[in-house]
Amino acid sequence: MEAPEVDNEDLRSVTNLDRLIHEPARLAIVSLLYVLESADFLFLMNQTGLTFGNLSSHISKLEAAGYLDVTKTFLGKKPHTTLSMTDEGRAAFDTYCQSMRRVLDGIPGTDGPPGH
Amino acid sequence: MLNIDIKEIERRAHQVFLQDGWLEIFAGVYLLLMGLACAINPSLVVFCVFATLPLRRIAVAAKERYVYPRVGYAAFPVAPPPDPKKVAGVLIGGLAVYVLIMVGALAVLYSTMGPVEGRAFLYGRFVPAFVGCLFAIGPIVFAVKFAMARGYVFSAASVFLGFAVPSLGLDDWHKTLALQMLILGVLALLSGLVFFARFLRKYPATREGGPVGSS
Repeated sequence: MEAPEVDNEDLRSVTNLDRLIHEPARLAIVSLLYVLESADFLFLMNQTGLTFGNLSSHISKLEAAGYLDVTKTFLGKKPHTTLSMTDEGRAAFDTYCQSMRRVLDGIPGTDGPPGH
Repeated sequence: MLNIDIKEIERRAHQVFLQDGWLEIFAGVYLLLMGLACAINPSLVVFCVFATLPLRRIAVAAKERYVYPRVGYAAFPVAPPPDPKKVAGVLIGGLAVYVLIMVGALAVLYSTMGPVEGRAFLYGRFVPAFVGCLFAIGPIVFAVKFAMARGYVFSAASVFLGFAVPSLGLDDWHKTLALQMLILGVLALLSGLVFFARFLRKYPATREGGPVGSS
């Protein structure tokens, strides 16, 4: 059965949220990379508090969606992964922030929308 | 409650690379060099600018060796190069303010104290206090921009030394300035080394997938 169309604009914002970014761990990764030119895997691990496997899996999903550029090199014998956000990823994050802002602006008692 | 503060995320990302103490170590060595140059001959201070590049290289190499393997590496967006006209304007404006302050101070001191005492006060008291205040600007900028509390402490120490060192009554004005810079340099260097030691203890060396040494 087809889902009925949502009339309320604010609710439409919620249902249309980019779920790939909305997941908390990925939101943390994307928020961090948004303010950086690039970062390596270790920096993201330290900043987000995610484990190696967890971070790796989330990065793979973001990379598959075209939101992240992942460059793998070696420092000596150790692998070194550098990540940066693509233009597509930045645009998706901007859209996500705008959607969240619209949703949160309508809720009384919220401190402020994301991105501020 | 979801509340992403992009500015705060950016500030915290910067803070990661300011906690290793290398900024203070770099500033400390630079101040010590300037202090030594000033003690020998004040005109030598100009040549300290040539130490910037080798010192920067050492700091970068140290970061690569000790900092990035522990906290990782992040590159921040590079701001577009400033308009050369604007840079020239700021430099000329700064120089004009400096000259204005010095000439103004000279005029006031000469007219109120007379040439001999006025000159002695200018070099013996005013210049060290002025230099102390000048050296306080940089740390305050860092303190405000990156919520780095120790920047306020360093600024306060610089201003304090600008007033306290002249009270020692050294016979030469450049010895006063030299001592001021040497004390400040030692303070910066020691605090930098303490922060660096704390950093090494707080963050063990790791690489992707586990501690260094594991494969």
